[in-house]
Formats: sequence, structure tokens, C-alpha cells
Amino acid sequence: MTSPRERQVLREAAQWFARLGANPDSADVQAQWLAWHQADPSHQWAWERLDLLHAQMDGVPRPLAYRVLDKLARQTPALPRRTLLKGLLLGAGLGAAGWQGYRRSPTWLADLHTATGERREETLADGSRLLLDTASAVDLAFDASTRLLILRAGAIQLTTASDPRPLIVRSAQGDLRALGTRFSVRQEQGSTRLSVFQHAVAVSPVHATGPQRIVEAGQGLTFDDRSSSPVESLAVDADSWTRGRLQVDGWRLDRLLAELQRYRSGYLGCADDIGGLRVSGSYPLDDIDMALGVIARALPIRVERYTRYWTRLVAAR
Amino acid sequence: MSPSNPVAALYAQHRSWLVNWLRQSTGCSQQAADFAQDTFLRILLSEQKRPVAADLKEPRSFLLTIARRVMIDSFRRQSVERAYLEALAEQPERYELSPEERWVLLQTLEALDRMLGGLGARAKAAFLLSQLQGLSYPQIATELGVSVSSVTKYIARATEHCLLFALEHQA
Repeated sequence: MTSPRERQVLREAAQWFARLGANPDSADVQAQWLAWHQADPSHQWAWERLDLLHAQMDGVPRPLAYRVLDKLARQTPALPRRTLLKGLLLGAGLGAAGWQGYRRSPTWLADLHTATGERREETLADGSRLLLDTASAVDLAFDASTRLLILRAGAIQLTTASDPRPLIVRSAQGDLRALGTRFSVRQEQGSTRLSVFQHAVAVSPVHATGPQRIVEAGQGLTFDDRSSSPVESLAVDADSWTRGRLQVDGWRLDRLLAELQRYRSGYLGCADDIGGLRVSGSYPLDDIDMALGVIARALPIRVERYTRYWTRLVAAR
Repeated sequence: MSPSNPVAALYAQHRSWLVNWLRQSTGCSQQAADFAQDTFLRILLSEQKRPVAADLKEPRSFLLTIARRVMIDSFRRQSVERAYLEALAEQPERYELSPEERWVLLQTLEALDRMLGGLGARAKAAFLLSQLQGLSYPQIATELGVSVSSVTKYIARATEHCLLFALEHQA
């Protein structure tokens, strides 16, 4: 059964969908939608449900499907439809038949994107390699003078190819200019996280005054639209996600779960009294349930699951 | 199938009673036999997910519930199939569909029709025009003789309805 909370977020998703449809060219509406989408995991869950719905329609020959459904809509309902149908429908399930539709989102209009839990590598027109992390979206705007990648959501790692044109990654907070390099960028709420693995990257927050900040290999920083944090040394395995694992050392449990949450739909969290437990280890990002199993064996906790979309860790008793 | 299988027991004890009941409702013994077969098949399949057959208090009313669904789905499939054949006949383009593709298409159309079932006529029309005909909201507004903001409301309502339906009826 759907909970009131699920109903509420599905309604919101439907309203956003209609609003985006009514304003197909409005960057403002898209930005507002993005803020909504990123504000809560339940929003992302609802939007995925919407993707599934569309994926189902993407496979059908549309003009034909339209005629059939329009005809059925015009028919006077036959007796059994009215009298017997209510409440007796067996869930044959939508999409069970496996139409192979393409996914439209997470960020709707993005050129490249991944679903929650998916990671994908793409080779760009200039030969640069782009790895998209879970639930990520990127628009490409390459022209004669610039190679511009617009990070709409999530995280990417870029290994740049040599090309006379500068390569710039634009996040909501500013521009990152690659200086021949491998680096990753992650869009977070209100900030952008940069990690540089080879060579260097120049950082320019949108409203920053003063010179660009150069971040060298083995360093990282976080910036908002005005200023950046001091440069820090990267942990040894800061790029472990690119190999499908999350390597952590002495992290708080709640931080680890927040990170794993990015790779799967629905709620994943823990009781307050265990959030501060410290964990170290390497966890598979392609199998979050296995990761939780590993955590549960290492700590005095157990995993509570109510549905596929609601998982919580609590103290073992 | 082992004799201890609860579905086998159900089949052995109640099949001929069910066929009789179905014959009276459909007036056709061939169809009654088919519906009965589909009823047991459906129970067999759902047992794999959620076994209930072993501890039924009223097996006959359970069988009737499933058999009614089988009948309704069959009527629905027939009307979808009829509409499909009509649409195909009127269609200028030709579709080269394999039997499997045709089957999957009919299944999908049936699921979509069922999903749209509870919607008002205008919301349904707006949704279909937008999703399948690819019309913009202003075009839909002209088509339906309503304002663009009404179209936006229809689409939101239809989308919400479909999302809830899909969630509640997922396998």
C-alpha cells in the first residue's frame, strides 16, 4: 500500500512534470525543479517512478497506441468494467512486458545521465573519457573555442584528452578549468567538490573576486559561488568510486550511509544513537545490501527493512 | 507436481465445480474450461511470490475471486484487441510486428488502458495528446477548448493518477 508520504511526493513529482511541460524552455523552472529533485531522496525516488512510467510509453509505436487508447476511451464502458472491476484488479504490473524505453531523466534534458546505482563511462568527441557516477547528469557544449561540460547533478570524473580548446566543467557554483588532467567534480547542495588526481585544475567560483585557485594532484577542495575552502590532501582512495567501491577510513556511520544512499533509491539511514560509530572498510557500490551486510557484521547493529525503499540501521539488542 | 502441493489439492477438489460455475456464467463450455485453466495457472504463478493456497478458509470463494479477474481481463483484452485491429485498419503506416512484439504491444496497451481507466475524459485526453501525440500544452488547449493552465492541471492530475496506479499495481 502506498503511504501518505509516498502519495505526497508522487503528487509533487506529477506537478513538477506538468510544470516542466508547460514551460519547456524556462531555465528558471528547470533550476527550481533541480532544487526540488536534490532536496530529498524521496523526491528522487518519485522522479524515478515517473521515469519508469515514461519508459513504458517510449517503447510503443505512439500514433498507433494513441488511436487504440483514444478508441477505448470513447467506448461506453462494457458492463464488467463498471460493476466488477473496482477493487478486483490483479496487479499485472506496468512495464512487466519489458519495453526497452530510454530513460529521460534524472535531469530531464541532459545529454548524458545515469540512474541511481548506475555508473557509466563515455568517450567524448575529443577523446576525453568521462565517467558518470550514480544519478548524475551532464550537458555537453563543445564548440570551436571551448569544450564545456555542464554538470547538472551528481558526480563525474574526467580524464582529459589533449586538444587546443580549453576544457571547462561548469557546476552550479562556478567553473573548473582542466590543466591537462584527471579529476572529479561532484555537485552537492549549494556547493561543488573537486578532487584532482593528476596535474591541476583552476577553480573560479561564479562570484569570486581575486585570482583563480589552482588545485594540484592529490588535493581537493569544496567551493560555493563566492569562495572556496582551504585546499586539503585527498585520502588515498578518494577515487575508489570510479572502480565501483567506496573506501573509507574511520568515517562516522551516518556519513557512510549518506554516501551509500546516493547509489540507491529510497530511504537509507540509521538511529541517532549509532550514527557516531566509526567504520573503516571497502564497500561495493553495486550491491548496497551487501555493503550493509558487511557493516552489520562489523558493528553491534542490525538492519531493519520495511520495503525495498526503506532501510534503517539500529542498535542490536 | 507433488500431491502435497496445495494448488494441486485445490485443483483436484474444486476444478469441476469451478468449470461448472464458469459454464453457467459464460454459456460456453470451451470458454469455461479455458478460464478455469487460466485461473489455476494464475494461482500457481502467484503462489511462487506469495503462497496463500495452503491455508484457505473458503477455497471456493477464493477461486471465484480469481476466476472473475480472469474473465474481466479476458473481456478487456478482447476490447483492446478489437480497438487495435480497427486502428491498424485505419492506419496509413504499416507495422511489421512479429507475433511476440504484437503480444507485448497488446499487453502494454491493455496495461495503459487500465491505468487510465479512473481518469476523467479531459484529463485522459490531455494526457494522451501530450504523451503519445507529442502536442505542446498550447496545442492541447486549442484541441480541447480549454486554457493552458487547465491543461497543466489535467496533466498533473493524470500523471499523479498513473504514478499511484503503477505503484499500487506493481507486480
